[in-house]
Amino acid sequence: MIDKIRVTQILSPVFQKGVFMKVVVGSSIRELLQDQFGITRDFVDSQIATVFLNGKAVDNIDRAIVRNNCEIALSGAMPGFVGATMRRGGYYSSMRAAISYVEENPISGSGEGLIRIKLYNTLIDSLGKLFARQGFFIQEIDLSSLNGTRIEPFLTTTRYEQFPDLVLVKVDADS
Amino acid sequence: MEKILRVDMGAEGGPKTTLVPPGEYAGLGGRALTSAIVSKEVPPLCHALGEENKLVIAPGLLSGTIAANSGRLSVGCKSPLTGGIKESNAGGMASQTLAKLGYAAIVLEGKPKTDNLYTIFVNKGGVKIESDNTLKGLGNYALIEKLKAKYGDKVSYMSIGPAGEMKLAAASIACTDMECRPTRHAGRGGTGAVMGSKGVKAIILDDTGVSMRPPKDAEKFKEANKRWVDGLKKHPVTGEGLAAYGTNVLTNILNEAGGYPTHNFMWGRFEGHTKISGETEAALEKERGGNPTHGCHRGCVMRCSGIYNDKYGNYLTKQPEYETVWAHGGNCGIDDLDTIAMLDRLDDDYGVDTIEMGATIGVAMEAGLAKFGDGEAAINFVKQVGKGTNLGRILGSGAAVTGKVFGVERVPVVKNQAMPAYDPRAVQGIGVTYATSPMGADHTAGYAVGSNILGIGGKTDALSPEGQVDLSRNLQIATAAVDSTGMCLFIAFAVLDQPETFQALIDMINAFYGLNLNGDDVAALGKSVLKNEREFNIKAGFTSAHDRLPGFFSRDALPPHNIKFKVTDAELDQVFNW
Repeated sequence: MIDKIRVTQILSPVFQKGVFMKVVVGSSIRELLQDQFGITRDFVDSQIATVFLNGKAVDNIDRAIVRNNCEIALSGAMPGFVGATMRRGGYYSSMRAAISYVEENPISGSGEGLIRIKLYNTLIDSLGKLFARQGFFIQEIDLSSLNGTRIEPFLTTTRYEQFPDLVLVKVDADS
Repeated sequence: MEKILRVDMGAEGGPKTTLVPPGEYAGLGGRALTSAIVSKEVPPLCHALGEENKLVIAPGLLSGTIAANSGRLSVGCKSPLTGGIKESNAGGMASQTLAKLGYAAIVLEGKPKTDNLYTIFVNKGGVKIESDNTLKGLGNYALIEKLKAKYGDKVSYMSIGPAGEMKLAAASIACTDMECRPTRHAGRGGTGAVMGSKGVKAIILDDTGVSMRPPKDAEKFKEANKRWVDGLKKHPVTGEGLAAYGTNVLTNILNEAGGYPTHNFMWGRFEGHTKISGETEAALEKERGGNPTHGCHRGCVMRCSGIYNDKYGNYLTKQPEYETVWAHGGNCGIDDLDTIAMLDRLDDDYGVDTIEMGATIGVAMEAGLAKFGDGEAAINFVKQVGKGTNLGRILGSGAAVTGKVFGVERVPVVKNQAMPAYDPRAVQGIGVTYATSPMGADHTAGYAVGSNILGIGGKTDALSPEGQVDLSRNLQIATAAVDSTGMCLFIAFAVLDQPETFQALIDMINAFYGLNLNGDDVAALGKSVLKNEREFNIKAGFTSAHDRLPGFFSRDALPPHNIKFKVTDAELDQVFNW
């Protein structure tokens, strides 16, 4: 059995580039993380310090709404002054006000949708394992990058007519 | 640190040394000391490479003690790059060694009447200066190998490469690290050119037989240092993130934010970012038997540096940090870590600032001298600098000169110093600091603990443009103070979030010197440093017109968010109104 750390190391480029997840849209980012992905509130509040929605830094994950085809990037706390400005709700967040996410329509209809999630730095290990177990969609080209790696024997792949350009990947790394 | 070593390199009969007490400079360290000496003793209108300029090398207030992360060195002078005052900060072992030897500073003065090259050897027995022209033209790596045969690898070296000898405005001063490699540089502002103008190739610092500096109150100091270390270790940035991935962990974040300057500040995102990210870099280092978790000096508990091996597993360079990876990577359209690491190695060897060189190559690429993404051309550009060809001397003079020579308008400099790895259109607050810092465009100038802890400047409305100005001012004040302690600026994150850790820092200074400082005193120190620096620059001819970003930042929208720099000139002019 391949060790767990090795799984996320191999998948790191894929998670950095972004994987696709089928989710219920219309909820807040917090609801997505906690209710749909099963991440604990404590982990969300203490470890997911930096969040981007469609490339804009999010301060309030209770208010920012997940919509179909949106992109979410998740990161730990970042170094550097600019890293500190990117933190959600941080003291220096005003210094990047030009790229802060503003939710203009907090009420949104719900339904099934496809979103792209990127994982960075410390979260690749912790959330990467969770996503690998739950499964995620990637493009064929990204699947081919996993061919020949030590992870390949532990991959199961499924194709859906609904998403012809994507492949659902699960990693049997914890059993 | 009871003495200052003054070396008159232009004295009749050869260099002459004088040991003097600190006098009016007593109690100052690091940037506070370098800027005090330069502002008081260097004529602001002098030529930066002339005999009137002085090169001041000063350890921080807590360097040479057991205090964790206290090994930063300040190097000050009038900058040949900006024409203003300069403090350039370096890691490595020199600061600890110099402080243990009891020196508050080494001041290189005058100018040799010949073109001889000198070494300055300092140990507990005194100072010895020798002429050694066999060192001429050596890169820093070969130089240190040669000097090690004579002085060994238990000493600290400060040195210049060919760029410093040629007195190029992007030249740096190398400081050796724990492995005695010349990887830590006082990079910004051309300090290496000033050392070259003094005819000094290397300074060798030997602390054999010298103990750590003793605090006035050993018990209180030890207890405060323990709280200090605990605070650094428990913080998620200083205790985990930096150690795991180094500063290059920022690549993905800045790219995601659309604030990652790409192709000479044309765009805010780089397609190849995941190939050069800190996450990818750390994994590659592990795979090749390098090390992504390594300190740049003894006593560092954050260990944000690392060892980068080539594809054969042999040492190539230290782990290139975020600004270096950006400068030679996304800024030049290069997405290959081995190419970037080679550029870092060459920069260190020839002795040039990685940020200035990367920005300069970006400008050269925009001028059409090579295509963006051409790593081989970028390596050749740096080699030209090392060889001192005509093109190399232009490039080694920095982005502003290169832009002028090749007719490029988009030149990302302030006060002629190249802008680092954060586009000020995306993070407008740092644009305020780039514009107004006495140092020129400098990401570290407004970096440290902020007004929320120090209580500088009263309450600010952080959401208004004026609030950004206030925050930048307060950050610049706090940073100037931290730069004077010898502490690594990365302590800022633990201090920012954990007031008790900031208190531990003040307690260490108080216990060491027998003082009773508080946050207000620290703020006052920072203000006095900035005041000295601003006054020097004004006398050197700087006006508010120099406290501006290049016009394209206000004119050209930055994709993907299509934003412009919107802080007005009137607001920028309020930064130093305190």
